[in-house]
Amino acid sequence: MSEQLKIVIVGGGTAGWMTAAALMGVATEKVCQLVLIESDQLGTVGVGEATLPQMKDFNDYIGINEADMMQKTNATFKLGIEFVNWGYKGSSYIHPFGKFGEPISGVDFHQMWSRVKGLDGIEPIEAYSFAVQACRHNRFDFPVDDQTEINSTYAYAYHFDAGLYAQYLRKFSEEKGLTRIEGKIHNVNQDPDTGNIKSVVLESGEEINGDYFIDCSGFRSLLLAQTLKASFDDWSPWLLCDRAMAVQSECSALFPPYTQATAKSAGWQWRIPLQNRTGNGYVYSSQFISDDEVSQSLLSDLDSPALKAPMMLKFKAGRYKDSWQKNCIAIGLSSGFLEPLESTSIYLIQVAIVNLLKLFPNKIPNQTLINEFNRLIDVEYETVRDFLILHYHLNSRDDSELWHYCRNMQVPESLKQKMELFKHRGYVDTYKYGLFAPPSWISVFLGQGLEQQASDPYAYNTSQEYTENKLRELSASIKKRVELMPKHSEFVSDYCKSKM
Amino acid sequence: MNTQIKKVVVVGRDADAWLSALMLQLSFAKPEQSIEVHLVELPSKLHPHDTYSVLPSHKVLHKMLGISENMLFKAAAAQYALGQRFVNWTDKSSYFHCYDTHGINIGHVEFFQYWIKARQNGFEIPLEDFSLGVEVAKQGRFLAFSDDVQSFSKATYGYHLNALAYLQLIAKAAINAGLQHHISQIKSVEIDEGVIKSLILETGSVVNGDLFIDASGPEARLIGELEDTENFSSWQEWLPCDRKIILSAPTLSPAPVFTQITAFKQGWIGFSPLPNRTAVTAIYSSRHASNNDVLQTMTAISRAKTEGAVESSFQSGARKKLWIGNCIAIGSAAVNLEPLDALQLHALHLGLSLLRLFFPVNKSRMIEADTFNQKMQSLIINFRDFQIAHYKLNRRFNEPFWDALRNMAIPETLAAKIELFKHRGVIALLEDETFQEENWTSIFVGHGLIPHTFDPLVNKLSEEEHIEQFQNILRYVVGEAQAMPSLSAHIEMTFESNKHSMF
Repeated sequence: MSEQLKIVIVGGGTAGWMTAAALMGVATEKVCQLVLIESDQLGTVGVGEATLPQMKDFNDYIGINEADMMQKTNATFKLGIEFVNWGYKGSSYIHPFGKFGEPISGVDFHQMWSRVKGLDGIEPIEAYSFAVQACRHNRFDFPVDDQTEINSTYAYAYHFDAGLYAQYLRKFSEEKGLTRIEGKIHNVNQDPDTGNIKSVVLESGEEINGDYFIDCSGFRSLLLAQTLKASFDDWSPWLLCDRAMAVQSECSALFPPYTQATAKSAGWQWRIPLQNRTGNGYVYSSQFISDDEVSQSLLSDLDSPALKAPMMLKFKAGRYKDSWQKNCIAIGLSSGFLEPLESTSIYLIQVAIVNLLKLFPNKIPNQTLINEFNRLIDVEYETVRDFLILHYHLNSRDDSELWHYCRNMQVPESLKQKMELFKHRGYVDTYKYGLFAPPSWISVFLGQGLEQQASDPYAYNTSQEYTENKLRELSASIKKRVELMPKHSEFVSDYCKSKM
Repeated sequence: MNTQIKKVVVVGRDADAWLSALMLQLSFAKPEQSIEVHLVELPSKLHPHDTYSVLPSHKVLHKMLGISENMLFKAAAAQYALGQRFVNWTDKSSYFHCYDTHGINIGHVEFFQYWIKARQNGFEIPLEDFSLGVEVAKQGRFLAFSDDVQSFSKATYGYHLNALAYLQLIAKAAINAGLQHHISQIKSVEIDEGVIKSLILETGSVVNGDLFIDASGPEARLIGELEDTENFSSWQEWLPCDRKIILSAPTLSPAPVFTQITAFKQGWIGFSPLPNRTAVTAIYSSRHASNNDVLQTMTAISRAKTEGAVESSFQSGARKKLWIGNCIAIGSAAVNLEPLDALQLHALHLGLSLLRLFFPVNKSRMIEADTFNQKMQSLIINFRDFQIAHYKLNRRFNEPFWDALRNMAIPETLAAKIELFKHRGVIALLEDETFQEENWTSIFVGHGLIPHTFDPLVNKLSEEEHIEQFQNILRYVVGEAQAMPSLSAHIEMTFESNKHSMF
């Protein structure tokens, strides 16, 4: 029972090093011996430079010092994502890592807001979100603990250089005794009876055995797809984008505490502010635009001069069914791909790691543990998928074929039901498993033009006058507090100025 | 705005009817809204012997309804219940399921995983000894602890309720709040295109409405007129008990702060301590026992007199669609369960929470129904599985009733839970669970299900540290429990002080 496990991580990059750091941070040598195989010759994708607030939990969990990590990864803070031209041209909304207002007489804020919207002195819903207002004013500070304060109603994430983050975790893991082996994998040996992976053989001829193999080989999915022949669940009928063109540009003077995603005729363009540069990219569907057009469009929409020539990346939306099979667990791009519209790539790595630790196997793989892991990961992937589809589907743009197609496509039934109930009465589902709390859904529904036609009848127990006063007080108090916050750029240079 | 609901009609009896009426009256019939709530009350089926045993979450419903603990105890309606003690369900004599966790996480790993390892190494101390809730129940104390204990324990309590006194309290509150109350049987239900238009009462009067709540219990007086014959799914293959006998026995001294659920050859007998009596409920299968057999067993176990025992029948099961047209089935018109695991009023509570959440905004387009039905279904299946688990995992051998249950095929949702637990002691919690990890763990371990493996991360802790941590926890649990007041001292201090001052 207490036999030591040998775990082999195949591939460095964000997924590989996050997995290594977590295992080194939580398990000891008594429990497992860990090896990571990585080749300096192979590039990593590392597009996931924008993260979600769960990232902070992960870093805290394995014992990483925030300021130190931020200094060494050129990191900035992130309070949300600005969506420009989604839904309809000329629109801009922020999906915040925080709430809209606070319940009034026990009723959800957006229901009360919807009741009085349009009346004199009632502002757009974003005026009542502390996180959105901080974004709009380029300000940042840590949320306070006191939950009765309006500046406790948000969380934050990071923008960082994923390559530097991987290096940071490599150092962290190696200091704790992790063995890194340099080399490319030549072939994989399987047990003829069980089909389990027995060993991987490097080009040097070195053979590495293990009880478990964690496939962090990126798009190649060396073990899960190539060796174990996992089948792929293709989600490209809903998520048409299949390429991204990325380019770095100079640091912009704006230094906003949010990611920007601007919808374009054949996809969308991201902008991620780091301390030393800005990351940019155009995610697009090759059905609707040529690479050359994308490159031109990308460059002409930059806020600051480009630093290098654009690089192109191909992918397909979807995931391999059962990312844990036999003694192989795929984490990261080797398990599936969803475009970075909601910064979910690193989150999906994180939940795979957390669930692996929760269901940490014994020496012999057990199918019930495997099934439970796959069930939990299914929920995560499907929730993210539906939320992404919503961004594309809910639009009234008539300027290009992509948007026309997406508006008319059949979407999953559960998503259709969510949209209908929001429209009918502003209902937003809360659930325990899977990403995205009600504020996320509300921001996208409203931001992309889905107006609620009626309010929750329960909201009418409070007088209109009382409700209006509450809303006025709230937006005034948010404005006052936000003005007192430091500028994001100042906060970063005080707290975690880059040491790179 | 003329599509707004103006009139809601609740039809039914007892808890389902009165709690629904009170919730609707308080939530939607305020002056700002101009919604009328009517109750057509059918003849009560309650008897002074009746009792409700409710989960801690019932307090959430009470908060919604403005019912304070003080009111409950003043009306002599309630007693605290920290959980259940299950007797004779297994070859070991008994175990507790209290509303609390066990031990505390060590490092990043759950306490229970350390307990599995210890058990494999021959450690004999039961899991429940690491639970503060269980210790407090054993010592018969009132649960009262300081904030710093909250990082260790989630212990909380539900109630035993004298059904009649409780409903008098609820009915009074509803009438005071302005509920329009009719007492009559229903002569007929007038339906047009799948929607209820009006009710014709035995008294001859006609009651029309925009929304109808069926709180008539298993007879499903309203929804029965709208559904197809396939709508009710019986759970008798998993929950075969179909008869209930209730009676009252004298109070016990000191009064236990938990329900005792004692299994016998063809069912089980529950003892719910109340301020004025002990409510005794027998649930059994009529295919395996006669009421005489059961009455004899009841006397033998409780020493209660069997005169005045009241018998009734039921069938475990649920409707698939609870909201059809403009009619919503609530409580036992929706789900009929035996009163095990304090679930008796739970479906009613959940139904009312969802009814408030989804109270229709448009009387001619109730698209909320689908989501309401899906959510209720998912909630219902999860707590139904909890009941089935007791039967499936019984360890009473050579008794036909229990042997058959042990060997029965069970729903896949439950089978998957048991399978994962058997291997590793992890609970595969789904969305919409009433019972959490600690509850499932209590009953699984209580029924003798000991996982085969534990989390290898447990091995980080040395044997010595492991033993030391366990000793610390055991000491802590006993010490904290001893610092709490006895139940009788608490009741006297809190609820009876007025009585004394009168003399």
